[in-house]
Amino acid sequence: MSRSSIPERFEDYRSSASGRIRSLSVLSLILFAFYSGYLFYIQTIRGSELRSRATMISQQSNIIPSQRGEIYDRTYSVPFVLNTDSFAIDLVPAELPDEKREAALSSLAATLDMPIDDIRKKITPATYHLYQPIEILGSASYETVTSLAERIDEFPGIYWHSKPVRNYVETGSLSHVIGYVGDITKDELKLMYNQGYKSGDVIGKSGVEKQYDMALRGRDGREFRTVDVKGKNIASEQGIVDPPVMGSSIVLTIDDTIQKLAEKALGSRMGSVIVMKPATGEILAMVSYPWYNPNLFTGSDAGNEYAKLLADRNNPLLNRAVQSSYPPASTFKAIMTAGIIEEKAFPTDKKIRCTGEISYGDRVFDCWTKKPGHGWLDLKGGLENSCDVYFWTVGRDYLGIERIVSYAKDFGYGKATGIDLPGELDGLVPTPQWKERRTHEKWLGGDTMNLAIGQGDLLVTPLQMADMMAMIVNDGVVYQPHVLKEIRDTSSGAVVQSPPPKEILRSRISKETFAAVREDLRGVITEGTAKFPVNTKAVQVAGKTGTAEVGLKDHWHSWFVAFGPYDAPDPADKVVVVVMVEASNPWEWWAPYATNIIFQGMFASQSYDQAVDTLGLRYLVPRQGRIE
Amino acid sequence: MSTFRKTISEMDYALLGATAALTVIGILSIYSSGLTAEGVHVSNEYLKQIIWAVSGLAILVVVSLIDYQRMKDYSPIVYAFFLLLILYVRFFGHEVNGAKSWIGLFGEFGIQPSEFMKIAVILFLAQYLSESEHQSSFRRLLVAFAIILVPVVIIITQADMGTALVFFPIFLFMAYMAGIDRRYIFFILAAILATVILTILPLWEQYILKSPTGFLYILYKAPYVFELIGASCLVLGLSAWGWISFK
Repeated sequence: MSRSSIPERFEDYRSSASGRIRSLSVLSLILFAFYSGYLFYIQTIRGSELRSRATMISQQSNIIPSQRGEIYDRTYSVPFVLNTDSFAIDLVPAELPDEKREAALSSLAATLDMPIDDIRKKITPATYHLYQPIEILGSASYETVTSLAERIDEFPGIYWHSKPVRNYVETGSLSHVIGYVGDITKDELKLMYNQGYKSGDVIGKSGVEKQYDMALRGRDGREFRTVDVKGKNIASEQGIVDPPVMGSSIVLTIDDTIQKLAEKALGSRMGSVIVMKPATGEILAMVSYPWYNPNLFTGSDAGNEYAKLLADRNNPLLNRAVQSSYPPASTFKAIMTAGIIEEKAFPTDKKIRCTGEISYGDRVFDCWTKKPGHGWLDLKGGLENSCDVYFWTVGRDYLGIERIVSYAKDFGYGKATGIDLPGELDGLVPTPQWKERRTHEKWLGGDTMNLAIGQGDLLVTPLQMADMMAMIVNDGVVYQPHVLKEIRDTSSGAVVQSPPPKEILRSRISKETFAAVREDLRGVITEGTAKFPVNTKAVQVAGKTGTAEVGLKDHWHSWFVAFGPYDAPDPADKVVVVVMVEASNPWEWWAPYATNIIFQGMFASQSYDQAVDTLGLRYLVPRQGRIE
Repeated sequence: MSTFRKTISEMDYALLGATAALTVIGILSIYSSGLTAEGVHVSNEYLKQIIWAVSGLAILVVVSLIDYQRMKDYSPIVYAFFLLLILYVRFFGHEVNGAKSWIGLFGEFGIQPSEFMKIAVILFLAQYLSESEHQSSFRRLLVAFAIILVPVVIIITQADMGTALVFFPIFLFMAYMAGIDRRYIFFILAAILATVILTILPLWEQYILKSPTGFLYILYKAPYVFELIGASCLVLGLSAWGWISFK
C-alpha cells in the first residue's frame, strides 16, 4: 500500500486507523500463537499417542484361506483329492474410474470368458465407491491371469490372489463317498456359526468332504494391512502375522483297485456295490451308479451344472448304497434260515412240498418257479433253490410274524448303521403295529408271507444288507461300517487319529446256527440258484440271490449278497460283497454275475477284463474301448 | 515501462514470499497425499495444483501491474458482474457435492464464481467505505451489510453455507478497519454468538457432547441451515425491539 496516496486531510483518520491496525495485528499474533501452541501440543506432547492410535485404526486384517486337506486311498499312496493352483480375480471398484468402467468391464468379461451380467451382479452401482476388493471369479487359470497381467493397464483395480481349488483326481465312482465342496449358505452358517464357520467359507457339501469337514478345513490365517479411512491399501509390506494351517489329510478305507473293479463290474447299470471287510467294518469299495464329476462344482459354471444334476431323473447325486432302500427279496431268506434254525421252529431236515403255488385266503401265491414247482424240500434245499413256498409255509405257520420281525431287527434292519457318510437311510421293518397305525388295517397272514420272502413293505439299504452278511460271517457281531481309516498330519504324514473298529450289533444267536447258515449259503453257490452265475474258482463264495418285485413287468431289482472265502479260518481275510442292480435297468439278472467278477478279480488279482475272460463271461459283456 | 520498474521496486516481497511458500507447501502436501507408503504415487492431483499455481502467478503479475487506485472505479462493475455470475450458477450451475456453485470448464477443471465474489465484495466494500467516510456510522453499517448480504443470500441458496459464512468475518474486519462505531461491531459479534448458541443448543446432546467440533459440522447440514436462519432472525428481531424500546 502506498501511504503517500492517502490524502493529508484525513490525518486523524490515519492515526486512529493505525491504532486499529495495531490492535488487529495483536489479535492475529494471539491467534497465531494459539495455533502454534496447539500444533506443538499435538505433534510433540500427544504425538506418540496419536500416531499409535492412527496405526491401530488403520490396521485391517485380511483372511488368508487355508488349504483343505487331501484325501487318499487306504495305502496313503493313491490321491483321490488334491488341490490345484488356481486364482481368484478381485476388483477394487473405487480404483476403476467412472468413464472407463463400461469398457473395462466388457473387456474383462471377454478375457475371463464369463457373461458380463455375472460381473454386473457383483459390481453394482452401490459398490462403485468401495475400496474393498470384490471377488469376480473364484477359479481362474494361470493362463487367464497371465493374459490379464499383460494388459493390466486396461483393467485398473484388478487384482488376483492364489486360491487353491479342489482337484478330484479320477474319483470316478467314488464321487458319492468323497462328495464335493461349495460356498457356505446362509442356512448352513446359522447352524454352524458356533463351530467357527464364517460367511464366505468353503465347506463340504456331501460325502467325506462334509463328514470330516472340520478335519479337512484347516485353520485360516490372517494378514494385516495398513489402510486409510476408505480402506485403501497404503502399507508397503503385507505383514502375515498368523500363517494359515493346512487341513489334515484323510486316508480312506477304500482300496483303489477293488473300487475300480467294482465300478466296472456294475458298469452303466443303475444300482450300487459295496465291498466290506466284516472283521472291522472297513468299506473297501462303494459304488453307486450313476455318479457325477465333482470337478464340475469348482468350475465357473457350477450353479448350472448342479441344477442339471438335480434335474436328472436318474438322480446322480444320490449315493444308492446308503441313501436308497429296497425290498431285500429272497436275500431275506438268509435271516429266515437263521431264525428257523435258532428257534427250532421247524425241523431243518423236515420237508415241505412245493407245487409252484400255494393258496391262502382268497389268493393264490405263486412260487418264482412255475408248476410243477420245486418238489419236496428241506431248509437247506429251500434256501438253495430260494423256494418261496417253503418260507411262506414255515414263516406263516411255524416261525410267526413276531419272531420274523425280531430277527430282522437283530440283523440291524430298520436302523441306520451309522456309517461316516451323511444322509444314510434307516430302511423299514414293517410290524403289525406299524401297519395298523399307518393304514388302519389289521396285519394278515398274507402280510407275514410277503415279509417271509423279503417282499411287501420291508426296505433295506445295500449297506444294511452288507451288515446282515457281516453278522453271519462274524458269528453275531457287526462292526460299524466306515470309510475313514486314518487322519494324518499333512506336513509330517503322521497318523493323528485312527478310529478302532466299533461294535454296533451283537446277537444272542448261537455260533452253531451261524455256521449252519453259512453252510446253507455255500450251498446256494454249489447246488442252488447261483450255481451258474457264480462260477469263480479263485475263491469259495457263499451267498444269496434276491429278485425283488417292484411292480414292473419283467423287470426286477437284482440283489446278490455274498462273502468269501468260505473256507478261510481267519475272519480278517473274509470280505462281504453286496451288489444291487435296480429294476429300471434292462433285465439281465446282473447282480450275481457282477459279484462273481468282483470275487474273481479280488482273489485272483485280476483286472476286470481278465476276470471276465477267465470266467467265460465275455459273451455277456462286449469289450469296451481300447483292447490292451 | 516506468510503471513496471516502480512495481518491481515497491513490491511487497514479504507478502510475495509468504504466498509462494504457502503455494509450494500446498503442492507438496497434495503430492504426498497421493503417495502410497512404498513411494508409488497413485494420484496426479498435484499436477492440477501446479497448473493453478502457475495461472495464479500470471494473474498476480497482471494484477500487480494495475494501479489499484484505478480498481476503485471498476469495483462496482466487478461486483455487479460476479453478482450476476453467482446468480447464473445458482440456477444453471454445475452441481458438485450438492452445491450448484460451479461453472464447468474443460474436463475436470471448474471454477466457483463465489470465490471471486469474495474479492469483488472486498473491493466494492473498500470502495464504499472509503467514499462514505463522513457519513453516519449507522448508515455506513447498513449499506455495508447490504453489500455483503446480497451475495450471501444467493450463495446460501446455492446451498454452499461454508462459503457464505466467510463473508461475515470479511464484513466485520472491514467495518472495524473503516472506523465504524465499535458498539455496532460488538453488537454484531454478540448477535452472531447468540445465533450460534440458539442454533446448536437444541442439538447439544445429539452432536456437541460427542465431539467438540461437531457444531462446525452441523452448520453445513441442510436442516440446520434453516434453524440457523431462524435463530438469526430471532436475535435480530429481539435486538430491533430492544433498540426501539430503549432509544
